[in-house]
Amino acid sequence: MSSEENFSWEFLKNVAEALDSYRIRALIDAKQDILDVGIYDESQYETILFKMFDDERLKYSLFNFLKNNSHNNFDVITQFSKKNSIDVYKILSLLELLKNEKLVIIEELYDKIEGDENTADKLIFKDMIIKPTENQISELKPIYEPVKVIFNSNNCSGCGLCAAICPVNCLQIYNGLGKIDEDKCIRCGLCYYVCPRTYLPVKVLNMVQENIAEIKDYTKVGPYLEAYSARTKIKHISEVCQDGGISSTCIHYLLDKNKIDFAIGAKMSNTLWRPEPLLIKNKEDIISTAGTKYVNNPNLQLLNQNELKDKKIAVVGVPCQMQALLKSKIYDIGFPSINNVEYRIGIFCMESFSYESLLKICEKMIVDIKNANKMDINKGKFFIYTKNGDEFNVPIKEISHLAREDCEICYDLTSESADISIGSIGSPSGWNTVLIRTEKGKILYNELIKNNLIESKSIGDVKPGLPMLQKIAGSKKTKSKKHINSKLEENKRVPNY
Amino acid sequence: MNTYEHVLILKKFLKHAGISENRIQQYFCSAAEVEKFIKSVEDITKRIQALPPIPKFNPR
Repeated sequence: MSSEENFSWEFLKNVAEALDSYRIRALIDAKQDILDVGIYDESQYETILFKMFDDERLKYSLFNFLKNNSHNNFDVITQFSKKNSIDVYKILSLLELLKNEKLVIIEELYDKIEGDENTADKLIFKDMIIKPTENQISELKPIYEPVKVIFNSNNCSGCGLCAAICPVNCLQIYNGLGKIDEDKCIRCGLCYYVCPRTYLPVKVLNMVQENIAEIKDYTKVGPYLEAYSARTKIKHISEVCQDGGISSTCIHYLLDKNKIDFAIGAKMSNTLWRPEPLLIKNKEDIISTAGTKYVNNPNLQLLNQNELKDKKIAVVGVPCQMQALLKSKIYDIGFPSINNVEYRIGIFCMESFSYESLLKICEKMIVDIKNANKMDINKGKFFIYTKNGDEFNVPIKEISHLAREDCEICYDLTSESADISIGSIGSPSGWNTVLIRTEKGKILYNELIKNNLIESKSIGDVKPGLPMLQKIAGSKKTKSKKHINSKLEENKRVPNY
Repeated sequence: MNTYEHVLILKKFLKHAGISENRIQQYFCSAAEVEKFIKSVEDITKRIQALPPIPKFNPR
């Protein structure tokens, strides 16, 4: 007989509310469908179900706690987190859910930063007023629509995470466009839950990243620990890499020392310049993934593969993919493959193109895409280098209307949610700018130096350096804000950042 | 999913939340099975009596 400790009326009420939650019910009702598809076996299904149940129970107990309090602010949240001995950021993420379900209204207060006028842009959690609404939990309607709404409103970033976690495998991302099989869909809303473009608690993401960050540059490049300029010393990587080859070197090192079993990256498919996700298993695979591809690629789609079970994974990806990974890590819904992601290696990304737009760009430059050897964006121009050694370029301004529509609403240039962000902006040609964001990333980078795999300089010693990166990252943020506002004016759907 | 499976999963949920799974049990008795019905009632009563009482509802 199990012991019945911690047994109070409130607890029982929360259990009942959680059991009644539409999210739990959708999963329970579709149990047979999920098991039939075979992505998750019974024990994995139960892990997800119980994890979600715990989350729901905690969420509703938070709601009841707030309701019984007359004045709710940040301190109340900390108090609740201490009482239940759960991290504050987890509670804040649940609060975000309550906000989405229209059970609470949050008014955020910002702390003034001296000498800066754009205080509202400074994403610092200082205090907030939380007001529970009159809505009843029992009257809640499912808010988690399938991510179809994101596809249809051109908000999808094509990261591919929804396709990876869908328990009935009804989602497909191809060429940056999502497709949903509505007959198969069980309306569990898990895709809505992990998607970076439905709602994204940016402040909570920053908070998770920032706890050790020494430099908290929210308006531009996000919180980071250290910044460097570096290039690889591994010869066969430096021959094929885009700039400094640091991301390839990271994967090389991690695979070499068995810190990971697999890595996920993008390689060129049989159609030239159309990338496809690749599970990197050995050092030869690294070579095929080196170099930047400017066409969107659903890397994260690979996370559902059964061979990833109990394996450690590193993911190399663009900012939206890092956001998706960090978001699902915070919400932690027990997906075996997501929990296995050990390293998030982010790359800088201004915008990506669809394959069709890339063809149009080539047309504009009068280059046959089959002859292209390397593509690059540098100094405001898009370059194509052909196999014959010719160089073609076109100003970015002339082709930016060809970029994917969802890239316009993305605020993130420097992969703020990654462990380590790598890109070319700010460093001289042939070098990478490296932003180290977490302790894990710091250890990794130091190991690279110790093993004599890379050459590293402080970012302050190179030209054009960090100011350049901050300027471009800041301009992406301003642009994204402008696009979001204009979309809001037209009453179009935008991500809830 | 049928009722039987629902009850099974509810048992698992209760156990997971730290509540005794003995608090719920499903029996099937047809109208003719009086003996079985009585036994079922006795069985569940015994189970519940062995458990600590559920706290009283006190609305604040």
